[in-house]
Amino acid sequence: MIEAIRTQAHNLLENKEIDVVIGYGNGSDPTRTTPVFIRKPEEVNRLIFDPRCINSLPVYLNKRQGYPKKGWKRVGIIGKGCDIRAITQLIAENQLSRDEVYIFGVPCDGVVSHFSKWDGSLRDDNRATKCSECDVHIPNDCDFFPGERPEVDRSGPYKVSAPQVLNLFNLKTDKRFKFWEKEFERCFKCYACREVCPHCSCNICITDRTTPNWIDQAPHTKGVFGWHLTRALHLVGRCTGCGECTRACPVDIQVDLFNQRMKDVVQGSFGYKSGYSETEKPPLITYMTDDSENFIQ
Amino acid sequence: MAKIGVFVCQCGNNIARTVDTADVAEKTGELSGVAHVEDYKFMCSAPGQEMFKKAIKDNNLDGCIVSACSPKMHEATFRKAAEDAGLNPFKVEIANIREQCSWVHDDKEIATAKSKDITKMMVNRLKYNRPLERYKMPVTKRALIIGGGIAGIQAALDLANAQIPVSIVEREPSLGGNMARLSETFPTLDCSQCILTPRMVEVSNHPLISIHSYAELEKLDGYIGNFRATIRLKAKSVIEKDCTGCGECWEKCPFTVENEFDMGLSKRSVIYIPFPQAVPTVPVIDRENCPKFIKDKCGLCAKVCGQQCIDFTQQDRVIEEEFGAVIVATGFKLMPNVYKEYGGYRPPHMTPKKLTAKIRKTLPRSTAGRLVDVINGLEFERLASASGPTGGEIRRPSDGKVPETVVFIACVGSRDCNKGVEYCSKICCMYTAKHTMLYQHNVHHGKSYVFYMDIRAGGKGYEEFINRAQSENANYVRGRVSRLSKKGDKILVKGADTFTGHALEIEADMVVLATAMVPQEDAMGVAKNLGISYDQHGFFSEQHPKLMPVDSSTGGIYLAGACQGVKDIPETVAQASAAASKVMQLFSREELEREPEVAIVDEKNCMNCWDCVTVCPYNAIDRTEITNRQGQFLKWAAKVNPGLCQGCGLCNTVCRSKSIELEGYTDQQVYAQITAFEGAFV
Repeated sequence: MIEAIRTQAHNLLENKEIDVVIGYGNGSDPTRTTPVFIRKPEEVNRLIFDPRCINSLPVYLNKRQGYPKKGWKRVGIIGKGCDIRAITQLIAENQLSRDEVYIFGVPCDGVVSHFSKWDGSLRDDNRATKCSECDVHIPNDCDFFPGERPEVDRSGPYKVSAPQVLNLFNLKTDKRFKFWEKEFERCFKCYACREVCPHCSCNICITDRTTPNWIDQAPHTKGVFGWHLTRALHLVGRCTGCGECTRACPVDIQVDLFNQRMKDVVQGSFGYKSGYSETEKPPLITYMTDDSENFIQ
Repeated sequence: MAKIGVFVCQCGNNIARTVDTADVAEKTGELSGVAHVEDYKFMCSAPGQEMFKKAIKDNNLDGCIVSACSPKMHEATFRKAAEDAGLNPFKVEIANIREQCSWVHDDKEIATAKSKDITKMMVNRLKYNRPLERYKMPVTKRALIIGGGIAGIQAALDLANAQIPVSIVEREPSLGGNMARLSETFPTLDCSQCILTPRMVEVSNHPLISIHSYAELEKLDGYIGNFRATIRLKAKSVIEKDCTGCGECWEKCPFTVENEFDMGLSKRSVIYIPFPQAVPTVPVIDRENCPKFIKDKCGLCAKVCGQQCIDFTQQDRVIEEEFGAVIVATGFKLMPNVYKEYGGYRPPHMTPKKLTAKIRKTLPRSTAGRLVDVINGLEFERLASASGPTGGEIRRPSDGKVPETVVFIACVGSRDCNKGVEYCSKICCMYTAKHTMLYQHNVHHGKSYVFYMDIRAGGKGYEEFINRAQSENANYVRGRVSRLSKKGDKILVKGADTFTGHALEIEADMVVLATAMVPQEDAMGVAKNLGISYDQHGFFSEQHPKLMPVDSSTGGIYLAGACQGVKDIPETVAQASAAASKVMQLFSREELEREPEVAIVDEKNCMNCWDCVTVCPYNAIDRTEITNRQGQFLKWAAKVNPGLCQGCGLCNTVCRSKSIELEGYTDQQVYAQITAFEGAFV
């Protein structure tokens, strides 16, 4: 599989159809992979793909991160189904245009939840939670796919969120608050969750704004709650569920539980799934005149 | 350091009764940045305003808080006063300690504390107020009138006589609207057409009025003073400028269909003018029913037309015109289908889907559904009209017999929140009284009964008119009708007389229902097209129910006639003239001033997600390219058209990067205001 992608990447780089391929390469120790930027055709053999390739690469298509770099006309990117959802969402939000990217789709059986859990085989106990509910093992939109791409029906709803979300939601409000209070005690506001998110694309994040100072910078209860709740609300109807925020968290707070919950709410209330259409408008900025609630009239 | 003046108003006793204004003034004076305080009985009085101006000048104040009533009442007053005293009007804010404090509290101590908080919050907010300048906009001095009924005609004439060019867009082939259908009008019983048609002729002859009949407004862009209307002129299949209106075509046309002008009580030809006095007197071909268009047969009209002005190939034409103001006069219709399911009607937009299906099922069994002789008010008007299907003789639709007994039922669908509409249709009492008279004048020996709930005859000469109807043999029965059923060739009316407490059965030859007035069925579509708001029934909403009854919610768009609420002819005409005078006011200036409280974009940080563009209900936000001084493209950013922006703030709420703000309500101002509150979390 990876051979076909290498050949195609080699051809495209040689013909200057794309300026760079963003993919995965071997990391510094055998359990890890690392994002690689291949600019020369002879380097394509560095590209690999296996269940260790957890990183969501579309973050390198985010303007806030300074990508695509100046002079890059078209960027090749290796995308798992979930990454391609993120790319689609970026296009829907006008952060990227479709002809700026060349997507190498890869079939994916799931990735490990964390590098440290990789021992050579992918099992239920080390597979990332997002993979068990995945309907894009075969990507839904790509420019190149190794071999024949089978048609998959993706019209159905997302699968329900991880059981943990529901367990948490079934708790009484004060218990749930206690849970988060305890979790957030560890947060020291490194903003890794923001930096790794493909959809955090503001030049100046609301938490960095000082006129007015909407969110307290200090990592105390108020500041931490302020940040995480704002982040969750800013991603309503936009989060494509790559789970990178939780993985990047150095103190292991499961911040994507918020996002998963909001994803369920958005889908339940408005029937909207983010990352599946480049043209459909997210529910929070539109209204329908035939809405079942008639207050809008 | 800010130099803020705080003026606490006692509002006579309105505020002082529950708020210790002297204490509020004293405590506010201790706040940082407050340079001057006053506590006065009536700030809005002439001496109060003088004091306000003098304080600004003497103390060289750079901002003022007036702690008084709602900003809706006197914000403009004090801003004007500040302007006179040389202070930017947008550096004046109102702290509302009347409606939001003194009027809703009893405890003086608590109310005083709350007043202090409210004032303090406004003081803190004011520190971040920027001096703003009003925008100046050019005005296109042409008016668009939507609807060619009596309201549209009156407004057009008033405007054109004031030398303002007007275009009327009318959906039907002729002007006239519902008033053209009426036989005689209350309370004077003068012939409706005799007073309407001269007006129609005046409109058609006026050099400043252009009529787009058989046309519809497709789109309205722009803003007050600068609208751009896209109008679809439907194909009439007749070359208008050549047509003399001789009538050869519609007389010779061999095909007939139901005449909607006569409420379906007669037939009309397929090429037609709605009624003989139609303006313009140009026929149109009803393409849905014309065999030439259905199966390419006939074409007789083209053969008989001496002017050769029938053109079967004509296409719809779409024109764009510029206007400065719009008057909406789309009128009303009667609640449909109520006689089919008498007492069981709900307007379509109020009917839950399941219920509709249920009603539909019961419909064939509904007795009234098969009663052809149950008609509505407008149908009776056509029967009584000299130009109507019976030539003015009152005959019943089923067999053409002269009805000996007629039952009139008032409040059908009106004042009935379960099965109809909650409001009173207002004109029914009057026209039912008129109908009894018209009937009596036509059929001298006839008997008429009126079932009513209350008689509402508020208007000049209205009560006298009702008295006259009651003395002229009409039997008024106070009570409701429960059922209409067939009995031989008669209709059995079962009802109750609540004065005597007896059930009543009347065998009637004809029943006339005074059905509720409702907006045109596409009124909501029109409202969305124009960007104006409407109420739960579909009537267009006025800006203020008492003080701005002809302004719509959108600047530059005015309302006239029954599209805004139920009205009779005098009221409609009065409102049309009022709307026209509003337009004249607007056009009396060369430039318009717009309030500067509009959205502004931080172009540098705009991340071009265009959520604001999508969410803006006024289409006021566009995309623009940001270039450097050499003209090289740097980035995209949102751009607000201050003429269109209404300052609703929706864009602020969707902007995640906080790159769009509302002038006068900036984040900094609102944040400062909230955080100044003693009990605030932050």
